[in-house]
Amino acid sequence: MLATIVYQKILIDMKNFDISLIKLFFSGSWPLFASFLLGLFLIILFRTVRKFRNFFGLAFIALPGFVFLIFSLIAMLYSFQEIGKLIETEFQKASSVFKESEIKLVQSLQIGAYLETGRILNEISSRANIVGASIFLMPNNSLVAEVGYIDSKLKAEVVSLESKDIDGSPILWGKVIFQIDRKFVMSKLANISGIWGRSMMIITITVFLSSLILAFYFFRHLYRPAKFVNALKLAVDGASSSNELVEAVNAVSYENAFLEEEVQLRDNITSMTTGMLDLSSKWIKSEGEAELGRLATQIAHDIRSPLSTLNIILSTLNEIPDEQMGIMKLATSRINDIASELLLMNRKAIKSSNDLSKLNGAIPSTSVIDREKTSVLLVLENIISEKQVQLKNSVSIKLEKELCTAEEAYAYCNSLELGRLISNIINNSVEAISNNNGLITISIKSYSKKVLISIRDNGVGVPSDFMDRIGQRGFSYKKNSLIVGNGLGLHHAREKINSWGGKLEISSSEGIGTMVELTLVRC
Amino acid sequence: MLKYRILLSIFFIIGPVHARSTCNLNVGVPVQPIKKDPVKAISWWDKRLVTLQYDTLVRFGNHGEILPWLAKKWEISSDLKRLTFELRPGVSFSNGTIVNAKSVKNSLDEYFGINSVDYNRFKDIKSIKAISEFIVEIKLKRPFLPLLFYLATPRASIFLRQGAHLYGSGPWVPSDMIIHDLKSNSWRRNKDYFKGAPICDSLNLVLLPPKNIEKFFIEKKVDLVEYYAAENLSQFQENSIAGNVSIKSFPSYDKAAIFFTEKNEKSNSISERQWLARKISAYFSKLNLDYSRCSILPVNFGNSDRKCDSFKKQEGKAPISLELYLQDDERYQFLIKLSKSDLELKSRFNFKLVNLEEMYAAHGNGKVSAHVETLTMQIPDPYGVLSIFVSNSRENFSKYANPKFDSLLTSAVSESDAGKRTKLYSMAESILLNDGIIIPLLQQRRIALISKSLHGYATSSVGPFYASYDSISKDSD
Repeated sequence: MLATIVYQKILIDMKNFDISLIKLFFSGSWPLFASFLLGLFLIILFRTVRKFRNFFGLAFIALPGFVFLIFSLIAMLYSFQEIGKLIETEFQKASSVFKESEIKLVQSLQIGAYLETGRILNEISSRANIVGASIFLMPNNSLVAEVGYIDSKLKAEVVSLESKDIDGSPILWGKVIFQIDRKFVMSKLANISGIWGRSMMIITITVFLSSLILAFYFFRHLYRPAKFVNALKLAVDGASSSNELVEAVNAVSYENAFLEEEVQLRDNITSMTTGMLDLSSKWIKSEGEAELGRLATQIAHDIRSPLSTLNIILSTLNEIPDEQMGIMKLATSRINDIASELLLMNRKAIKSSNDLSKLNGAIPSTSVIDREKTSVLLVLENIISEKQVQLKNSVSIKLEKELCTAEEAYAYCNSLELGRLISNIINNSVEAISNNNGLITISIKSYSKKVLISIRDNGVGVPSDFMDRIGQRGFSYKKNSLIVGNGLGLHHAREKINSWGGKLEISSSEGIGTMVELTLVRC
Repeated sequence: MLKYRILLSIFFIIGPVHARSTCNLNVGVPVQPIKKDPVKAISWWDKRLVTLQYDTLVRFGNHGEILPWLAKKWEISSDLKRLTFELRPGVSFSNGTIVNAKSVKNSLDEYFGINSVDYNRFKDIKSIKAISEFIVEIKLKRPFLPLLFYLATPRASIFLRQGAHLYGSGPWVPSDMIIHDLKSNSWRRNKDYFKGAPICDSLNLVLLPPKNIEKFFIEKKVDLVEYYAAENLSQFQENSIAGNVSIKSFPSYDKAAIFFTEKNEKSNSISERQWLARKISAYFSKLNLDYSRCSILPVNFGNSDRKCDSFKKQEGKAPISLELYLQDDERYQFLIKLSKSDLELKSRFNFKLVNLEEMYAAHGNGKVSAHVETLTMQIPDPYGVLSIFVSNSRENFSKYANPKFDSLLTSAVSESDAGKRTKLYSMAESILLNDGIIIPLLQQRRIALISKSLHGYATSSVGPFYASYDSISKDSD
């Protein structure tokens, strides 16, 4: 509200003196306007040109622009305010000069010495910077003296010319109408605005230079962290092990860290890197431990079958036929093999764990890749023999061979693993058979590049709703609630076969049976 | 109870009246002044009486400026040919009649009229008109700048003529209103004076003895003596003066001079007058007196720097006889000294000691070739003095007539440029002095003797008679 009033007053003052912005510009106020326009230009430049929307533009264009604009605006407002003050002061000054000469003027009016009145007026006008003045007799308003020229369009001030009557009351003899010299006012204004303009320019240039220096420092301090982060990224990308990562991160230095924020950034990133590596090692370690646990479970699961076989045989140990003795030897041999493998895997796990504890190595592989040329037929026959003894005719196991020669049944795999997983699949089939006429048909077929093993039962089958989850780790579908599975057999079998380059497929119909097909790469 | 209240009221009403002692102001005069119509007042004392009884439209301030008086305000038109006065309302004459435009017009008609001493000065007055109850307009044929000054002089007083009686609005009212009672010297205060009634109740004019004035002060027969020649102060004993009387000096505006008369059988020729002027200027050169300006114009209003040396160049012819009419006063004493300084002068001077009335009578008979008189300033403008010598002027006892001089004065009073006007006045004065129609003698110093029991005596520097005694108070006896 106040600003509006002041603004309107300024406008009225300027109008009263026919002072326009253009006239102000050409009367010496150009530095002010030039600074304003320059500031405006720089800000628009910064806003519109995308190229300058960076630290450089901010420091060298936007900041000086704002400084020019704001300072010139302040200077303009001050100058305009000074216009009002100056005009008022000049009017007061002129009025006081007229009042000083009031007695002489009144006396000259009283005796009709109007030439003398004119002389006094002339003398006053030279003292009071007025451009024109007229004296009128009151109350008839007859003009008796005039100096200069009064522009009726511009503001004029009126001073009454009075004397004291006998009782002290005022007697009005005339009035003076005068106008302040516009040129004088303009020169004063130009002087004021010129001083402000020049001062403002000096301030702006000073601020501009200061901003340059500051910008330089800012740029340096903003660039260094970016450079540091980039170096860190390269170090991370180039590292192939945790040891290398740590070495590379430690090798990245933050040169000339000066600002507190820079020092904090450097320390925090180093701390973060170390923390991440520590966290990573902990994670790896926990993964290793989990793997060992899984192995133990697997082994326990695997050993369970041969052991049960042994138990059965042992129960009839008094009359051990040769065939059974051979089977027993075979089973014992399998247990040995499993134990050996467990020992080997355990050793590897321990080694891997040791490596990780040193934070000095890549994440170890938990799989044992032992693919070799294996006689699938032989494995199947051994397993079937073993299972037939184990199952004692409760479930019939039939082997169907579609082979021209025994050589056609060789594939890349691990015989032990293959036997174990076929054993597990047969166990699953046995578990799925609930009637006494259970039949498990195992067929082997050879193709040009693959060997196909099919294990089919006439068990309860799996409902279609569960088919998607069959073979997933931890999922086991047991129709017979007396038998509890852990969901590892098929999952492990699939992983193994996949690792050999083959595949495992399951199909089932509820009430009809389930078929598991193993495809191996033929040798 | 009511009775006591009435008594108390009577006490408060009467009490102050009884407590106040009567103030009677006694003013000493050298001659018993004669009350005249204001327009016919010529001598200093005539004017003094007029200022007591009457007011003017305007009045001189202490420095010669014009102040509003009966006219509260006025306006002079830009062509200087019209003056419009706005009268102060509520002012009344001593008979209670309101001072209005009509009474002002009537008064001014007389002032500008043929019976006025100043008649010849106002030939350019065109008309006087009462515009309204309190507005008066004076129109002129051509500008006459001294007019406003003249309207401040005593002869321009505003009065109301009713039969044989003249009523004024001034601070004092004559005790008897018989206009031609020459011995009337008692006045009472005008309680309704617009500026406020005078402090003293009455005013008496007391005829002073030629000598031993001091005794009158001691005996308290007189409280105030005005317009007293400083040269006569020697008759007072210094101690007694210091004890009873205080002295107030006035600016030396009055110029004593020898006025020659033309056009009669005893008139001296121009050559003889110039010879005398040279002799007198030589005397002044030797004395080097500060009051011996060789100018007839008042100080500050004329040729204050005119040198007496200018007369030395004049040759002139020594007259056989120089007959001078004069009064036995300080001016006579001065001329005695002058004649003793130069044998040629002494052998030729023939002094005729007369009083004022006798001198006027001798002039009337055409027997005066020269007389000694004092020029009073009248107005703070050289025209007041110079206009005495305008052809056919009623104050022109010299019968001087010079068309060139008249023309210069006529031009001067119409000239609105003050500088040019002063130059014209100076040229006119030079004509008078070169013609030797008047020879300036000395600047007369006037003083006022004031009893120390008086308080509040004030006067205008333009002329002591503008003091109207209204602010004077007096210690009780």
